[in-house]
Amino acid sequence: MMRPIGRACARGLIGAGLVMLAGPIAATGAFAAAPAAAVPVLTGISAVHAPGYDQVTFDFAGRLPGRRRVTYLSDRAYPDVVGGARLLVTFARASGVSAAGATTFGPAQQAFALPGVLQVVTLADGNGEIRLAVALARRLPFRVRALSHPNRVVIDVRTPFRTVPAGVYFANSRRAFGTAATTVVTRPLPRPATPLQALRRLFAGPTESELARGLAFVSSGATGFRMDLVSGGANVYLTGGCRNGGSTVTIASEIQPTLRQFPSVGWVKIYDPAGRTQQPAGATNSIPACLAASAFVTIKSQAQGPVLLALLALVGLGLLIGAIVSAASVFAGLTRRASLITPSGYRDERIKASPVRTGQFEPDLAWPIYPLRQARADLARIEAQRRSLYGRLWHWPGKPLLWILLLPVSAAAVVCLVAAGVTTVLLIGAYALVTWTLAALALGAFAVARGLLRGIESGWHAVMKTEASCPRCYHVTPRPAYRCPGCEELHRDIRPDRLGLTARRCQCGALLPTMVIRAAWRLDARCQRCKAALRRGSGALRDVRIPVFGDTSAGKTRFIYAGLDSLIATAGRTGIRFGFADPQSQQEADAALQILRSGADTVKTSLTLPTALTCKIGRGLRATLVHLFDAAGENYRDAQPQDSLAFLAHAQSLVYVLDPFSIGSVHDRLAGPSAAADRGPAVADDPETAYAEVVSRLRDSGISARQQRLAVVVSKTDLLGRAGLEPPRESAEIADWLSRAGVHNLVLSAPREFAEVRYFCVASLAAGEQDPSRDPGAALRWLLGARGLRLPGDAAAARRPGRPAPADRTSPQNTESAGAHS
Amino acid sequence: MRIPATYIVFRCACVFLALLLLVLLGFGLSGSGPFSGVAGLEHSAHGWLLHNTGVSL
Repeated sequence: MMRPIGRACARGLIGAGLVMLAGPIAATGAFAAAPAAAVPVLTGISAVHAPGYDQVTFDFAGRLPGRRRVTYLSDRAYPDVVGGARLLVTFARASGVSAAGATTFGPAQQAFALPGVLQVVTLADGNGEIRLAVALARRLPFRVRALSHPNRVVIDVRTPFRTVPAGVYFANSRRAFGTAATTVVTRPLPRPATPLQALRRLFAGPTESELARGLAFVSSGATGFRMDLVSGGANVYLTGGCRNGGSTVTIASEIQPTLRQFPSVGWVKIYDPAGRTQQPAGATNSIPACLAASAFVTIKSQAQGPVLLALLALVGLGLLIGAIVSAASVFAGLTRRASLITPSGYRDERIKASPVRTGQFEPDLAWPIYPLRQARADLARIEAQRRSLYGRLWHWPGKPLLWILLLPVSAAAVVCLVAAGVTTVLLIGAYALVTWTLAALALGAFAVARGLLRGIESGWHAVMKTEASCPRCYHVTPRPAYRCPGCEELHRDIRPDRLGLTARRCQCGALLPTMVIRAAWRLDARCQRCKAALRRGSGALRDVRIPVFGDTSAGKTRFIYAGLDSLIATAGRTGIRFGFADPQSQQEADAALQILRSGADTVKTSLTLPTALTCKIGRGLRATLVHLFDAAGENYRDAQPQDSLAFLAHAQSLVYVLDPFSIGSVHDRLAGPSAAADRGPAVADDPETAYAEVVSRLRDSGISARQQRLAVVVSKTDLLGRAGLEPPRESAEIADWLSRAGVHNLVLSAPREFAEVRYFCVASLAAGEQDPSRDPGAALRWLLGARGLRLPGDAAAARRPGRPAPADRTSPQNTESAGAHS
Repeated sequence: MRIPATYIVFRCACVFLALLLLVLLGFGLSGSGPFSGVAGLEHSAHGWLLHNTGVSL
């Protein structure tokens, strides 16, 4: 029967005093709910005995819960809450959890040594509701009151009976060593006391003060029980679970003395949840197999006590020593006795792992990145230090016999040192774990960044067609070597790699940038093969190599400088920066241009192998290095030196200079003393000889010329004009003119030998004196255009004879003036 | 011999993280921090010790 508490209060006002309701009572809505505010928090549960009743108090912080409901549970609900009857207490809205997530009102199960109240168990706490079960000795009348100052809800449970003390046995953790494993406490049981009541008190557990004294209820996995009293004994059936946990102290240690204090119980048989016990028959005590301790556990339990405490103390000391040894090992291994993997040591390791083959260079001398190698060395050194320091702990003074005589002391020391050893292993293992994890993460990030940076650099090389060519030995590589500014050691592979991602530290300590596009401006670039100094920006800038070949006195040198003069003039007109990449090139060009502009003859080229004349066209990273090679014509006749003319093989474009006066038909037509005086020095051989020999050498060297452009330059056209011959201006017409003049072999074979061929008739004069249609710079501009360097041509040169000037002379279509397509 | 600064950075980071790991494990044993799960292990160990030896630490 449910009655609202408001009605009960009304009865109280009439003078009924304490209203005790025998039966289920609902206390819902007894008090007006407080206005919506913070949820009340249950802060404590306590229970005391007063004459005639037990009082359970629920303390709240803030206001009281709006809904408070107290009712009896059915016998089947919550069987794990052991008691003769159970009250279900519900508070809403209320909470028993703090902001930090901790319970605010104590443990979930609290026992009380009272006549009527056995324990209070938390059933649920959440969603603004707290549900608790109050286990009672039997079904008893109660009342609920809400009190303020402080705010609390009180349940008064009547205890209209007399009590008698009875013992309940709990495991005692502080008296376990060699003495009784259990300790008896008393509980006031309703008279007459029964074994069932005592067993319920056991399952209710020790009170808070008893817990503080070291008492505990060892449940051995059981959550409840059922008991049958039979003649002379008791059968206890455990529910929930059953396990001894490897201990000699089990629930049987508590149940048996608790029940056997009653004269009517001569023996106790305990059954597991499956209904089994070791000795089901006979008037003897019996426990299930799940509670029986093994022989090992039994023996072990006999040896416990002070010995175990001493062992624990020794283990604690060992932990301390282990921590000290570990810290000392790490400190020494990383600082004083660190094992450094030096650049030379690392290089030796790499060479040993992968021997250097012919054509390869030894790895560079720089510090490897830490996670790759030094991390392993550090861990190895720390481990060595740990072993060394720990090993010293085992060197005891005196003779071994002394320590044998002092066996207890030496045994204690051994225990301590073993614990220290285990501690050092664990701590150093933790350090190693952290180091390996960090190294793995760093290497993963390194691999990604390395791939990215290398991709950027490769993309730059591919797009900008960058290379590093040596002006002396003509060796061409994707990237040059760089000389360390500190120790002058050569670093041959400056790409982001195991020696550094964005920078590497040389063995001398100097910090060098990685990536060619960064190092090109900060470091001294060197040839990978001959170690000669390369031009500034080599490897990072577009690189164009143009050899100029031809017979002796064909006008190669004059063509080069006249062409350069034309390019300088073109650059000056169009605002493109033009300069020479090195002082030597600058000096040679200045001298030659001065001769050219004065109208004098250029000096005969030396027979020694040429050094590239390098000019730089453009600004910053978009600039182009143009290398012009001018070898004496004699080099193209002799087979031996020609093998050294590697610049021919590495050239993307070639210029063949042909002296028209060496053509037989032209020579015959201009025969005469005056003509001979005007034509200057003439070649002494067939004009096709040098061409044929160069092409033959290129093909014999296995070099495909199908990727190369060839500009055939007919020089000295100014002299031809003076002699009354005016060669054509268009490429096709020039080719036809040459073919008719007897150079048909060259004209026929050149298109088959090269990717593209154009013919130019030029007058190698200074820029200011040139006929624009005879501009020697046109041939160079055409070849540079093939490598992506577009230079606007001379507007005047673009004009064809008899044609009007186009409106826009700077457009790419109109840039090349002197030639037409072959 | 001048070693790269990254060596010192890595070593310090390793020591710091190892100490942090140990401290967090210590907090975890007391039931707080990211490794609070180990408190359950500690509780089990205490229970095992209590059940098997009667010792309560």
